[in-house]
Amino acid sequence: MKKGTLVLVVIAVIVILLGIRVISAYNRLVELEQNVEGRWAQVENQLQRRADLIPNLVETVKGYASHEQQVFADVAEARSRLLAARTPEDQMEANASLDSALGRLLAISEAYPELKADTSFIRLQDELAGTENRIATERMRFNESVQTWNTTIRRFPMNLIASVFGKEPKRFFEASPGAQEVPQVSF
Amino acid sequence: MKRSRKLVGLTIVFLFAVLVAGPVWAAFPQPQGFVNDFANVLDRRSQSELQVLAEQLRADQGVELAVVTVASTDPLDPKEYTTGLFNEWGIGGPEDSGLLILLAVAERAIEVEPGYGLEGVLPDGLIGAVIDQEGMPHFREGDYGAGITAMAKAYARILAGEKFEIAEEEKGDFGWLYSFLIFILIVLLLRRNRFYPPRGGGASGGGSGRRTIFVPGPTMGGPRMPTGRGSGGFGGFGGGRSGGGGAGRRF
Repeated sequence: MKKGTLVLVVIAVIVILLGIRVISAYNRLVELEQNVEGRWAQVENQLQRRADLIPNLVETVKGYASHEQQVFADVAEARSRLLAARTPEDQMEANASLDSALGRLLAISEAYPELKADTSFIRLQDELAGTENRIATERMRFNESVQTWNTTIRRFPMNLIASVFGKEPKRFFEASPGAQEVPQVSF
Repeated sequence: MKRSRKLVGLTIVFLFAVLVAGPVWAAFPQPQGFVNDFANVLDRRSQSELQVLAEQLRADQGVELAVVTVASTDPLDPKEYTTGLFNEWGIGGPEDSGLLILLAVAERAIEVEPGYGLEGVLPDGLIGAVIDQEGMPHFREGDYGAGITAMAKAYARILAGEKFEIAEEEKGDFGWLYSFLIFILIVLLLRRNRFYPPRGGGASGGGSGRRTIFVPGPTMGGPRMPTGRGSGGFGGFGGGRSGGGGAGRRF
């Protein structure tokens, strides 16, 4: 009887200690996941900012190169896909196609010297380049937080706890090829 | 035996960390003041003017202006370097109201980056327009000091609430006429200045006529150390962040 109580007490203590460990580990996971989500929200902000700039940019280009309908349609389509995307994965993909459509739009402008000299076009290009840089910065910070998250949940013993709570590694936001070439206003 | 293995392991980890983190962190020098002429391309007068301007900006608007020239931003590109340096130094304090003007000599690049707190007052388009109108004419001639000073003055005016006039591209046939009129006006002004030499040398920096000596303002420690820590209000940066906005040009 007495021996049985002792065993029970020992088990209880172990369970409590383990429980505390699990709770603090869980809280850490919550904190890290929040961090990743917060970083992603920053990325979203900047993607939104860029999407907001596009109609003005397209209008300005149209003023000089109205017959390039295909590119305008591509840009508009990619933009609305980005705005409609809800999950980070969809947003990343929509963003990649917007990158390439925008690249083509800016390539057009090379053929129109008057457009290149238009002050409002130059300002818009500055805004766009600035936003691209902001996206790059926020992307880097987001990826850092994903890195921390992924390493944490893969390490022992956190991997056990993470799998119990169904926490999975998150995807990095990779720069699409060509997106690194920030549109430069050159003279 | 076990201990020495642990030591070796730790050393390897440490070396790895240095190798990975080293190039990025080592690339940034320590701030020496508001004006950091690491590339030695700013004339003394520009340095003094920028120093006074930065002190005024901090006192009046709570904005921290940092001017940096570097020989090269290698291995980073100028924009990455600017964003990295901004956040490493923490220009702008807790309100994130910092403004960094960075000139890279080898890359022939000028980059201007606002902190989060200034993005509203200084949108990228405006930042770029100031570079085009105030900075580029000087940079093309190789006068980095004059270019940066003119830009810094324009940003200070915008931060003080003045409107910056963006020059419109002349579309009609009157372009040459305007240029000609402005030319005549300049010639007339120059001639006038010759007959009536400029009065005094206050710190207002009107910029008319030629001054042979620069009279340092009362806040300066002396003309010999225009960027020294003790000479003005510089007490180190810290805490300011930027999101990588701003505008840049190659000249």
